[in-house]
Amino acid sequence: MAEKEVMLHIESLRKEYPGVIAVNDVSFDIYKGEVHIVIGENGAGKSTLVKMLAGLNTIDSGTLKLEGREYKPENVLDAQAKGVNIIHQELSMMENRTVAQNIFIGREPVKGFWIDKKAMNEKCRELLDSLEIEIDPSTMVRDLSIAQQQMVEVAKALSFQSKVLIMDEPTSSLTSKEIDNLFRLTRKLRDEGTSIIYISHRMQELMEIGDRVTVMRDGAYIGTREIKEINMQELIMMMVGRKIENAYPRNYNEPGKEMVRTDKLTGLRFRNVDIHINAGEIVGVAGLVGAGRTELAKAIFGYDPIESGAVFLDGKKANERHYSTTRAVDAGISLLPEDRKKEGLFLDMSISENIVQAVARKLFKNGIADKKVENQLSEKYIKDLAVATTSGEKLVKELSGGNQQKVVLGKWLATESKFLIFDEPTRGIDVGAKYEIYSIMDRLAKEGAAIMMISSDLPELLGISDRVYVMKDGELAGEITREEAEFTQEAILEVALRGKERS
Amino acid sequence: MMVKQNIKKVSGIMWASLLMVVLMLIFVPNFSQPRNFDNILKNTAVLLIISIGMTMAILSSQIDLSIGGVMSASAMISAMYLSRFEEPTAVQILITFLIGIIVGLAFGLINGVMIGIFKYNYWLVTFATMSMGYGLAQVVTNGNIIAGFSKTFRHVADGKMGGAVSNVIIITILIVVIMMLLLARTRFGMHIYAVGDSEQCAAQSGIVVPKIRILVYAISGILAGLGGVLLVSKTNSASATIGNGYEFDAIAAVIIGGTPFEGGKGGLGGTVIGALVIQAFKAGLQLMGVSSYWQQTLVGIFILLIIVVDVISENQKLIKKTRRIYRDE
Repeated sequence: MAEKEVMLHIESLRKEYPGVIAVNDVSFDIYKGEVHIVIGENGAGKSTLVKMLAGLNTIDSGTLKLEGREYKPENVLDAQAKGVNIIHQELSMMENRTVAQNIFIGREPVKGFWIDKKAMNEKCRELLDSLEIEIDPSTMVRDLSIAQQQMVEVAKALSFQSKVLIMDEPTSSLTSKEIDNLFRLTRKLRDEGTSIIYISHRMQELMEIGDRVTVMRDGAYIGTREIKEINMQELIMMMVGRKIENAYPRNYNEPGKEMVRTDKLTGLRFRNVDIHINAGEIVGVAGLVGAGRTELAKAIFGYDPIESGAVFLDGKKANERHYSTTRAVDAGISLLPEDRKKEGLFLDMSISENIVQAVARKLFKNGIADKKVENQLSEKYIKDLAVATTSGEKLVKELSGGNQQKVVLGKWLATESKFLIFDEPTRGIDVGAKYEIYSIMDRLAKEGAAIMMISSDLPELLGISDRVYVMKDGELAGEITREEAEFTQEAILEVALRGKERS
Repeated sequence: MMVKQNIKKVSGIMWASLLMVVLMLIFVPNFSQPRNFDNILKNTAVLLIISIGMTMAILSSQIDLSIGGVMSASAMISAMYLSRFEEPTAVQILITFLIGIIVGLAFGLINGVMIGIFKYNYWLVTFATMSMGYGLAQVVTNGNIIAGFSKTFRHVADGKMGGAVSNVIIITILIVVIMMLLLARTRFGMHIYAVGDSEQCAAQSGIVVPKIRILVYAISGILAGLGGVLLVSKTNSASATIGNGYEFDAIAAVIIGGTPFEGGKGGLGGTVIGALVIQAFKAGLQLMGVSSYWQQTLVGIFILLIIVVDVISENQKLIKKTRRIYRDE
């Protein structure tokens, strides 16, 4: 094999967030003209790493060399100018602009003073045609489906001349035909000498598109292998790194009576959802991004509209068309939201002020807060949940992700809630804290709570849940229980991608 | 295409407004007189000139509250200069307008730099410059009114150069057409929409957001300055309160015209209709003998109604869109 030319040299790259070392002294090389897969479990630091490469995250320490020259991206623009582009995991588009305007923003073709719309649309058409994307350049982005929007993002990134193109889980909401197109194009770019860094969870993709693979775990570099020489068993060992039997502390109990039931629940992004959860059960909800899981949770909690159907808790109607969070909280439903910092916490308030929020209405009936009662309450939950803090007066924004999650949990436990919805409960939380959160969930189930857990982390979902519901395009597409032989990641993905008929 | 979009967006509000105008035509005596129409058009013209800046500010998902204050300041400062001459020459009149425009530009630049570069809150900044403008207008003449200008100066707005149509209307049409082209057909225009739609996305796509913001407020200031002087020419008097309430009428014209506060959507076409509707509504109330205090109240109620209608129809659209994307694939 010919000697490999190094395109991007990564040395001792490091990034630290409060309480978590996201990327810890990572060093490896990306060759010219290769598809380099970066793989690892959720929270392994893959996204943080590539965001540093693309100028989206600042670099704490370490050096980068692009084609032998020092490379230190100031921001996305600077990275783009130097030839490093990224296809984001999250969409960032201008909804009220056309496809062509989104793709060519900032470099619109002009004829003298005027924008040459015709040329812009033609250039856009050529680009989309080359990708075999059947979208009209003059369509408004708001009128596209999520998958189509993602294809437009891909097209935009490909329209730049890239030395290094980073794809952060680009296929998460694409159809198999679109994935084929993307792969065809990826190979073409690779053969032309572009280096592609490709982040994925899916083993199948890795085998199909990758040349080499780098494994990361808990923010650290584990190793790089040639895909052709890799042994699947070895790869999984590298990713997991330890015996995983004890990663999920869960004692399965005999489920109690039915605690939660939804009856043909229909909201904006899901329809006719019938689920039931018994006391003492942890039920997982799986699905791709956009499948409607979070929206379902928010509707059950009375935050998002319910169009028809109802939620029953302990046999009593807890929420329906005239939805409200007040009603849900009073009935005993709680939600630990996906975006903890924005939706779950008051970051500039203290731990005790946060813990008392949901129960304050019941606790202080005359409307006057009693600091002593507040402190007693928070004291109790800080101890009970082992929140690592010196006092209840500490501001929540100063806590680590895991401890913040415990504060959210404390807020709900204070209301003596019977039904807890965890939406991505361990996202951005380090391994040790994850274990603690799982333990608490297990304990709550044992004490008779009904728990619903939404997670994109399939091993976690399988490790903790008694049963898993799978959603696809806003519908309940399947249910897999622990007793079945098919209680596997593959089974869940199969249903999540293809829907009911083939499961 | 931009125009088509606007019309689609405006339609609900347009029907309501059209209905109102028809009702006034039928029930308000003298509403259909040519003199009344000329009056409405002239009033619309001044409002429209300053509403262009407001449209741009709102399209970029911000707002320019300073417009009324800037009008007052530019009106008073330029009127002070002009009042030194018994019979000003064409050059002196030109200088009068230039002074007004420069005063407006100065205010616009303060707004733009504070907001665009130093990232201060646009409500606070333009609120402060509004106050500065009104204050400065009083300072320069100790609160006195300047009135009784020469015929040549009055002719700039009120004269009829080309026959039947007042000059101020022709000037406005010219500016509106230029600004429409600027918004719809140039990079700068596109980038105003882009910044209003998603500032983050715009910045990450290589648009220099501070530059866009500075230009938007500078243009808004220039037009407010010009509007102030034109208003003096049209009314033949300059007082420190001359711009009072224009910022609110401008916001109303933009909102009625279907450019929502969230930015990135809408355009000048709607604002033209919005300004016409407001001035027709006010003229109708005037002819019905409604006091100016009540006029202001009724305009407020009218805007409130439009917002309610708009929010309901937007929500319906949003629900339909969500259903389409998430259900029928």
